[in-house]
Amino acid sequence: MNRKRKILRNIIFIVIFISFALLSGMFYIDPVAAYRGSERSIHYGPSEVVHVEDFPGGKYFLGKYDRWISCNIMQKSMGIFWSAGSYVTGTEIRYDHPIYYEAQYGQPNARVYGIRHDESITKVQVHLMDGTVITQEEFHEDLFLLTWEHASEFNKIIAYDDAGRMVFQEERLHY
Amino acid sequence: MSWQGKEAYLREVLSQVKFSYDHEPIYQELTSHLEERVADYLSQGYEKEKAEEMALESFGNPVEIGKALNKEHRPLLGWLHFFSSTLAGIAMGVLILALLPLTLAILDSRSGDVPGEDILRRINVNEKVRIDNRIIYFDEVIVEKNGDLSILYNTLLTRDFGTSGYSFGNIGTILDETGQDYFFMSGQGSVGGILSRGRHTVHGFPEDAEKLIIEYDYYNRYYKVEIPLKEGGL
Repeated sequence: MNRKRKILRNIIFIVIFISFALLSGMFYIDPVAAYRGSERSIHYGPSEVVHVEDFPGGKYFLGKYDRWISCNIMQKSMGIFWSAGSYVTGTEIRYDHPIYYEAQYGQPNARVYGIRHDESITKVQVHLMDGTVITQEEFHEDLFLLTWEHASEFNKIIAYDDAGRMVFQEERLHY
Repeated sequence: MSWQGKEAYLREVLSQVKFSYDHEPIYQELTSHLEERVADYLSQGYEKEKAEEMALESFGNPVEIGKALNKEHRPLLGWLHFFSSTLAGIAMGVLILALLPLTLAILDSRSGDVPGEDILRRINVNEKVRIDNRIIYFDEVIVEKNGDLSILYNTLLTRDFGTSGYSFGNIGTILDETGQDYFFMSGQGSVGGILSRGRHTVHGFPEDAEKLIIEYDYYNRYYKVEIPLKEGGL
């Protein structure tokens, strides 16, 4: 086989491989496609993505699906590929407090996310064990997200209304 | 030209070939042809030294040969060949790595089975359900001598192969026909992967139950598989 034929053969093989890899979800070059693939693989969603937030090396996807909310992370690898971070999940919203939230910490990309049930809530604060206070005043279709990169663990969450009154506070149970 | 001049001759040829990536194979090929020709002259009765000298002379002008070879080994084609071969090799490696676990899973398709001496009854099942990107084939229910009941199944991912590390550990709630649900243990078998084998074992499932029901109802996905326990055979 001469060189031109070999090149043609190689190119055909590479094109078929790339098409198969992208169409079958072997690799993702789009973070949203990776996010959708991770949802399908836990048999969840498709969620409505209400907010995407970058962190070094990846993105948080804050989403809502029927009676569940989620905040899963997609990570970049080898410069072009995207894959889901650990612990992809959706959590069912509870209505017994003015806000419902989930805290995921003790790992990289720690976060607290949730939903407000009362639109008068305009601010959510997360206090970490090292004394750091993180404040969020942005809501995305009533969902909120607070993130931190350092190792400190979640201690408590406080929600305030537009008059600055505390309407909800919950402290982490310490064993 | 003497045989000792072979290296200088070949260097002269190669100096005309711009695509250095091909120098080694050209060197090897020309050396091989020269040696063949020397052997040919030797067989005609020439002395070794004369045969080597004639072989080199018969090859002709090294600059002209080099120019001719340079046309065949153009740098653009050469680099295209080099990079496309490298990429194709990487793609082939990735394919093999992706298909190897699938092949191993097929070879290991009986993993998770219950040892024969522990089986009291084996019930063949032929139920297939699909949720999202996964097909689940329930193929056997095994009643063990100790009263345990094992559900065996295969799962096949139809897409999202990049997420094949996710195991499918929850086939649903295990019920009898009265609606009583039972705790089960999962994890046996080769759960996870594009094709995997799983086994869920239920303790204390009533011996006189007529039906085993597997009901999956999570995140708005639903399936229900009803398996009659009075059919089948030993």
